[in-house]
Amino acid sequence: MNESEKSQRDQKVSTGLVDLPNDELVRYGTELGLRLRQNAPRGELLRVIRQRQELLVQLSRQALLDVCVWARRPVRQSASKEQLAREITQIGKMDFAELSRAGLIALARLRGVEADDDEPDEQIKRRLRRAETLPDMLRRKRRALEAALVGKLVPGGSADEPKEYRFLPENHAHSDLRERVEQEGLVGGIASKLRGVADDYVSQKLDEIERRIDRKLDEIDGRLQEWRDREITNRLRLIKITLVVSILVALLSLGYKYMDRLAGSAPVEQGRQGAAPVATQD
Amino acid sequence: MGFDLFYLFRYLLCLLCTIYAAVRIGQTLIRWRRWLWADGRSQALVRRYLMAHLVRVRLRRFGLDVLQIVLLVVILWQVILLHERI
Repeated sequence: MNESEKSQRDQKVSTGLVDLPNDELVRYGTELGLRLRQNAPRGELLRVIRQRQELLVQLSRQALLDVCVWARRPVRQSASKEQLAREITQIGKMDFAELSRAGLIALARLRGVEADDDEPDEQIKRRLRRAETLPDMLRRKRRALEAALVGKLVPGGSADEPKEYRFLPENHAHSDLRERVEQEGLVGGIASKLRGVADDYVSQKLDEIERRIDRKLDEIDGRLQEWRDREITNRLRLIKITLVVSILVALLSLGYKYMDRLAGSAPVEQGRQGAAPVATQD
Repeated sequence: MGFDLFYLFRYLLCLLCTIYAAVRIGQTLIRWRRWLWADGRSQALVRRYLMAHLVRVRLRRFGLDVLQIVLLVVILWQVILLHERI
């Protein structure tokens, strides 16, 4: 798809935005990498989506790819700007070393931070750090801590040096029969086409099997999570029961002590010596 | 008059419960440690999976239970302190 086709499609999308219902608008906005509330006013949704469309037109695809490579997000080299923007909005990384200048400006603009082309890098980085909200920062720190912990506990959890980034493989469509016959001859072309069809069939079936396995694994994972949560709840309930029983015994002891005092029959020294540490333990 | 059965009961109860709980917790911890830190690929996988599950626990989900436990601990502590004042 060339640039003119893309711009025509964008124009169609832009004119059709008004006709879309709110939930579709939110879905489309999410595809553009925006975080939108379902109950946001319609005018607000339209305004934000149009702003994002304009911003994506202004940003270069290479700059967006730079950001994805810097954050090591799995993308295809031919990914559209919308796809790249969606990936970029999920990036919480704040260490901007190794990020190109164009990438830095694109990242800042996608995060809603002003960044001019003639501005020094440090100023943009400072503004990006200031724009990070406290919950985002806490989440980032927590994840860093968790990652460090898991990296220490699990052997091989942390790589010594990062490997070179590689884009996801492209989906190349098979050329048509005529082109193949032209290139490889009649028999070779037909054989190649048949092989391609068989390959497609096998890969489709393999994808289907993979999807089924993934679904089953997700199901097992979900069940394990339920089991884990049930187990934690049971443990907490046991702790609560223990505490309630301890309180009841402590109250009984307190009542006994009070009655004992009222009756005026002070326990003998031996009994008190034995009771004193108990009173602070049960 | 020199011997109070209730104080003895309370003392023994506290002693036995504490010893029992300590021994059981120790046994459980040792068992888990032996099972998880055993050599082998499958154990390493289980260890990694368990770690991932622990990291994914949402503490907010058990917030109410934790709050109740904190409240019960505070009540127990206050009742124990009351023993000194009577």
